[in-house]
Amino acid sequence: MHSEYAIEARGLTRYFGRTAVVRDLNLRIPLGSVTGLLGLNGAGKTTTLRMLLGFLEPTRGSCEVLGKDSRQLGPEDRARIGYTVEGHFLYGWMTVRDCERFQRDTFPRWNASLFGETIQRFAIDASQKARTLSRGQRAGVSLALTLAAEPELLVLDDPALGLDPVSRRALNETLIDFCDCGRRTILLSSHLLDDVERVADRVAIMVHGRLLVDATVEEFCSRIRAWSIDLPPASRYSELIPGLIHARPLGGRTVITVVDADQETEAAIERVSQAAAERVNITFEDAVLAYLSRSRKSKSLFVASGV
Amino acid sequence: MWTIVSKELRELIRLLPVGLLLLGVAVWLSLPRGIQGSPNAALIACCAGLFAVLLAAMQGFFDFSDRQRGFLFHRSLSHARIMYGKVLAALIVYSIAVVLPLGCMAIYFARMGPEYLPVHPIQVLPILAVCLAGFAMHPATLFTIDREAHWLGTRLLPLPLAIAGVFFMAVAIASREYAFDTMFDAIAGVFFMAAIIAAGIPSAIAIGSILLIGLFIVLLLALQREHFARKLVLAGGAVTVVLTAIIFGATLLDSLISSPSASYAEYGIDEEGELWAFQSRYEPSENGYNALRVPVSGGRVESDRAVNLNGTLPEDFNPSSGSNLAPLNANRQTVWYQYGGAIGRKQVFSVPPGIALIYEQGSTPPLQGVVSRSGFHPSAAVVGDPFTGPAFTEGMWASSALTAAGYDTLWVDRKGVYQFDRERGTITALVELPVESATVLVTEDFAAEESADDAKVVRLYVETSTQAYLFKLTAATGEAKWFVSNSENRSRPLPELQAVEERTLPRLPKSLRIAMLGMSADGSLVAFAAHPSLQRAVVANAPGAEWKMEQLMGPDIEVRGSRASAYMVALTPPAALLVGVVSLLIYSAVSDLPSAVTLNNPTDGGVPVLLLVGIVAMVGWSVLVWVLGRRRGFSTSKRVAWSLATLLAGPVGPLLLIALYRPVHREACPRCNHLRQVDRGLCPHCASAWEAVQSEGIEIIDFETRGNWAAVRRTEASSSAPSSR
Amino acid sequence: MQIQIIPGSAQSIYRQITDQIRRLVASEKIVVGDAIPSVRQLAKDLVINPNTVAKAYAELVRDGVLESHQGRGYFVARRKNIFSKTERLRRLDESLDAAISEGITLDFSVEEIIERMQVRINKLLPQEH
Repeated sequence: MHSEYAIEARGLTRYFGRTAVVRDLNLRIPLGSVTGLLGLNGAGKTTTLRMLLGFLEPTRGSCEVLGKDSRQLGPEDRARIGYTVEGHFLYGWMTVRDCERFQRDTFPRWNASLFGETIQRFAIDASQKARTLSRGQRAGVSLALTLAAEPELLVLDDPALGLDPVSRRALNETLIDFCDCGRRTILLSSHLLDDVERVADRVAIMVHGRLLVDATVEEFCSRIRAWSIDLPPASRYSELIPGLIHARPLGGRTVITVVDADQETEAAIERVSQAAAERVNITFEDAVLAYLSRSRKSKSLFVASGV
Repeated sequence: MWTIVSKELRELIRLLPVGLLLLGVAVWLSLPRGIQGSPNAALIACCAGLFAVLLAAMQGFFDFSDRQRGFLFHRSLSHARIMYGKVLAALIVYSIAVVLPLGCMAIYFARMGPEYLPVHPIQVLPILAVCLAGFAMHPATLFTIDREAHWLGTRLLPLPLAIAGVFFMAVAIASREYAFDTMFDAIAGVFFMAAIIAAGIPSAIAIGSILLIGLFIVLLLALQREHFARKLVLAGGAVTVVLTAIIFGATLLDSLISSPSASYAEYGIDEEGELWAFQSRYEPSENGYNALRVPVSGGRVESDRAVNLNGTLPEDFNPSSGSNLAPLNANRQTVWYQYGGAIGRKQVFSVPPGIALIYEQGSTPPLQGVVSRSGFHPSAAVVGDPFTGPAFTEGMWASSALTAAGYDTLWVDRKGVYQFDRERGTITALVELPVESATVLVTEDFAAEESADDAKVVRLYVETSTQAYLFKLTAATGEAKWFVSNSENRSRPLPELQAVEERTLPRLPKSLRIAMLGMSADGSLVAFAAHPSLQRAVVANAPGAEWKMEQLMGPDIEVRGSRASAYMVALTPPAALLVGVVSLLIYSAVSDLPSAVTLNNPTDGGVPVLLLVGIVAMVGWSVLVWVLGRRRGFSTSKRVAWSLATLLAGPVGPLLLIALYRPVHREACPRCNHLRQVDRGLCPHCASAWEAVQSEGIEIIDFETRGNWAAVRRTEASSSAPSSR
Repeated sequence: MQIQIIPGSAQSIYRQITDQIRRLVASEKIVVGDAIPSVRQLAKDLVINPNTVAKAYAELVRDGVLESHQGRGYFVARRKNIFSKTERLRRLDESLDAAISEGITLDFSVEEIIERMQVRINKLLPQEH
């Protein structure tokens, strides 16, 4: 018995030149969980996943995947891990059937019926060439290729990027099927918050290479509260209100999102708003966006995007 | 793995037409069109190597971007097996691309036959072997692309090794007996120091080279965090880089040395029997394939003082040459055929077993005849396959016969000297040498007496690897045909020769590395050292059996204190300078030659400046390495080691350092505030680990750290809240 | 049995499931002894994480809404008082206190709050009136 974690990263740090793309990441993915890794582009998600899979040497720190140091993953270890790269890379000249043969010959286990089901779900013709597939279909093929090898741990780098709603649904269904009620572990990075809320039971949020959230979805949602105050946003809020994640303008008012609000926090909000604060309900999406918006240099940009 | 091979084959097969085109064009350009064609084995080898690089580059292009790497390498196959698969697939495609055009070439040769071309289809094999050796470029390139390194220099290290390896393979295949010579020259001689070569002290060269190269191998193996095989490849690459830097240094050093002549000094005897040293330039003759030697300057050699080579030759100076005029390169074997020699329009080619094929330019078919052990045959058909028939001579020194004052009648090999009469088709042994198994013919020379309408060989000098001989030849009766060097074909009565007197001579000192050997009309032999700056001569008197060694020219090394030479001193590896000068001094002390090095030049007074420049450069390079090492996060002991090594290696040190290590970013330690490398766990100043990044107070981490950070945040908040208000 | 999940709403998916099942039981759309879809089935149907469903079921079992029959699945439980009278009262008071104080914070009068509570009761449990 190794540990109860499928992935365990300790102080994982990666510099590219002078910039730390990933900084002191302590990430633990419990066995059997489905974890959504969220973050803006450039937050270090892909870099983290590449380090987990042993394709990039960490500048310092270490990570273990299925109890094995990522830098020393052998063929047997890789057989237990499924990995789809960003953008669902396939060799364009291969037909779907060639892809299957190629994958089958390089993995010890192969579940042909699972492969068949998955590509059917994405409505893919097995004799088609990979280069003629739509993005959604390519996602389907690469997912099918990864799943049919029956890995214990699935690492997906932005599987939903650019997918149409139907393909997204197929992707979610496939993942739910695959995780098999907690017998397998999934780590996926994504930008689609709805899907993550649905599919994942844990959420991890990276901002500027740092891990700010690593918790179950419930705990995450339950620890964040928001108030609306009748004042324009100001940078002093972050000094005045402990635990302030983000303050964003909304129709002349400001929505203040706070983590772990206690009486002290409420008192601070009262003080700031001159007793005109209103509790507002907050969704998972709002909570995540509050974190992600912190990383934006310009707050107005965020407002202009209409979220 | 076969899955990988077939996938790679499928991708690489697209490149096959490119390879076939590339090599096909190279082969087509290299087809000899006539007996004197210029086959270009190097072109084919380069094209093959280029194709290997192209294959690796395409494989790298297909599979080494981040995404593709993730897709391909995340399988139940080890990284090494996938790489083997790639190499194997590339080898298959490469072999097809190489074998097809060269096969066509062999067929072409077979169709032409010896009547038209002095090339046997079998002779395609060496170039095929060179091409296959050129495949080494593929794994080197692939390895270069595959290495995770952010500075290109580190990645490129395997390439110099592959290039050097392929080069050596090419030399080894083209000419086995010169391969080790070449390697030795490359590593120790040519690449090291022109000055030491001139002094001719192989052991000192070897020791110097081994010291310097060994130092870097040890440094590399000890310091690189790599697998052993990769370490070796990198070390090899680094050594090649070091050698290249030393060539650079030696080339510069060479120009430090005052050399009175730019080309080899040559030697001749004038009509009065005086010995002259002169410098010539070579000009192409009107028929296009024979070089003419035109003396440009020279002076009379007197045995006890330096000759002034800057003097102009007398107008009527026309020394009768005792030296072998055939350009040395022409004697060397190439991959294609052994070029025998040329007199007028006549060409002689010998093939490895020792059969001589005589061709004449312009006639159809060009083959005039074949000389085999049984005599002269007008057609190749008579001897059967002239390329594979019994050897005519053993270890034939191909140029011997034709360049001896115009005779095509004398042939020398390691067993003896033969006279060949074409008219009668006979071969007579003039001299037989006692053959020991290890005997190799080293050199030979003929002394000829020439008058307006007569020319005859009177003395013959033969040196084998075991013994040197001097023969006096006397004329018997008979006639032979001879040819004058420029196009005219003349028939002259020529006496048959007979060796009457044989004298066994002491061998010349090997360390002289003789480039020139001459014989005067009175039978004196003069040997010159190879380097132009060291015009040492050894004079032997014909009646006596002892070599008399004399320095005929000025001192070997005169260091001049010009600005240019200051740059050169700064750029030359100090170890090379030291070993060179010291070995010259030692050699001068133990040998019976006069002093070789003159470090002080009274008219200039620049030597102290040069010494100063040298010392400043040594220290400067070391300091640079110290600073660079700091940026790369070396420990103090490692920096000391590198700086000491750089004291000896000069600019090679910083170059290697930059090539091998990339700078590591440093940040202030949160505890002691000293700068520390970001890739080290512990701070070298205060030994603290990196502290967790400062909490922003908004983290939601539901593992055991949660309680802690929440508590921390509360206390922070409560302590900072009053002050902020 | 109809459960609808709206991701991105203010209620978490887990809460949406428990609330909807409680409501279905309260409104007697499903009655004692009725089988509830398995965790896997519901997760599949709703395309949501099975861990979330399992957690929701676990809470409902803890609260006595459902019961789990080993190997056969989940069923609507007979309403039994797993808590003592005092405990039940304490729990009720606790949630009422929260609602009342929230109502007062939102500036409603006591009458308005009581009236509103009646409206909600009528809406959630229509057949009991």
